[in-house]
Amino acid sequence: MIDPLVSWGVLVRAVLALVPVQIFLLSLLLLDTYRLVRLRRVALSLTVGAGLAGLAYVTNNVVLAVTGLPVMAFALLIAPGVEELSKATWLDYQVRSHRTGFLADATIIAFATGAGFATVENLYYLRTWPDAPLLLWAVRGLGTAVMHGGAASMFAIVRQTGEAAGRPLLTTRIMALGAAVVFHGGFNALMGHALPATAGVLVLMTFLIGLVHQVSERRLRRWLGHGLDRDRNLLELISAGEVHTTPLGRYLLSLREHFGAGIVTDMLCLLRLEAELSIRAKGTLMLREHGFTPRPDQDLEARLAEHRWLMESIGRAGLWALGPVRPWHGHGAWQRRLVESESATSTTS
Amino acid sequence: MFDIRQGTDGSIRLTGRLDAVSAAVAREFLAAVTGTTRLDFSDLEYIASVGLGILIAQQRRLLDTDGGLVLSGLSPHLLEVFDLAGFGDVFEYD
Repeated sequence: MIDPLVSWGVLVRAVLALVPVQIFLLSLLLLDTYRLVRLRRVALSLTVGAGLAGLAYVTNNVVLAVTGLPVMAFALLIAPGVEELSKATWLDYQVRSHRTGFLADATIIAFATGAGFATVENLYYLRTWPDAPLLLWAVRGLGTAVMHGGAASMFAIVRQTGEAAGRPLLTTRIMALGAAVVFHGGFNALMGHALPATAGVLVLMTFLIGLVHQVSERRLRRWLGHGLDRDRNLLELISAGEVHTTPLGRYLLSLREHFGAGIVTDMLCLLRLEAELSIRAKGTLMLREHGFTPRPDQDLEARLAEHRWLMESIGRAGLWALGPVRPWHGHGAWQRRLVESESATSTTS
Repeated sequence: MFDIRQGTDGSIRLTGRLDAVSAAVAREFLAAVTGTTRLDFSDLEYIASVGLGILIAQQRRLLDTDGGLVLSGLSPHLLEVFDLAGFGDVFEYD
């Protein structure tokens, strides 16, 4: 029979180690004025983070056995790299595939991934040291959890900033991973000073999250304003049949020699469709900012199907040539994810 | 040049260009509006996204107090933009 005092002690330790980081994550979600991240994606990232913790645990054990390093040296030199690299695979995929578009949503996804990772790690520690002093457990458990969320956020901030600025992919990846590993390694280096280490990551993360939120909201507002005006102008030009009088129109005409009139017509249709869907995406964000829930658009799925057909018809070379003038080029491609998620909602509602 | 004023019938008439420069004037004027009010766009030449943002913010405020903006005289292009952006369900049209 389980001693009730022991089970209560484990429960208190579990709450101390697991709950505060979820509250931190919840506060991030509450800061998300535009509701960029849906709860489903947060839950998915928590789950993936937990799975990656298992993967990192196995990898760490293998590397530790192969290298034969002392455990402390391994914890300082190797483990941060292994663990941050495992989280980075998921976060890099999120950024690269335009599932995140701004610092705010990238940070939420990253923190959720780190929180999932930390949950499994803390459960492991809880099983290994169930009798650790309560204060030490509170400080260490909370510190580890916020550190994992924080290190993942560091990766996401650097990676998302580099992606939005169009910086070289390899450089951005190395810099992002470096930031996360240094943050993680720094925390591990203070392993003997749990209280200052935990206080440090808490203060740093609170400051960083506040700063990221402010910068992200400002950039998003500017992007919304300029972008919506640009999309409307493009739509108006195409609707009025005046594109041929603009530099864009002349550029499209010049493409006719290479791609033929049919493909150029599809290009014009693609530009119009992307302008329409971009207006939808930005309108959705503007409505959410003021507490409105946009009504599901039943035509979205059909428009997205048309978009896929046009992309296929135009082909890679045509899309490359059209690239810079497309509303969904580069950072704008994030809008496609937003519209797709809206479409999925309208299909299921 | 942008102008916004309330007519004798209580409706609000927008004239000229509502852009980033004139946004503050429109925001201040509309913030004082209460109840259900008709907004006439017939003489509005252009409205930038900042203007659309003001309309949505004011509509939120008015709906919370059982009021609202009723839009009239929108150009076909603006109607299309409202429809595409999903604003169509938020406002009433006259």
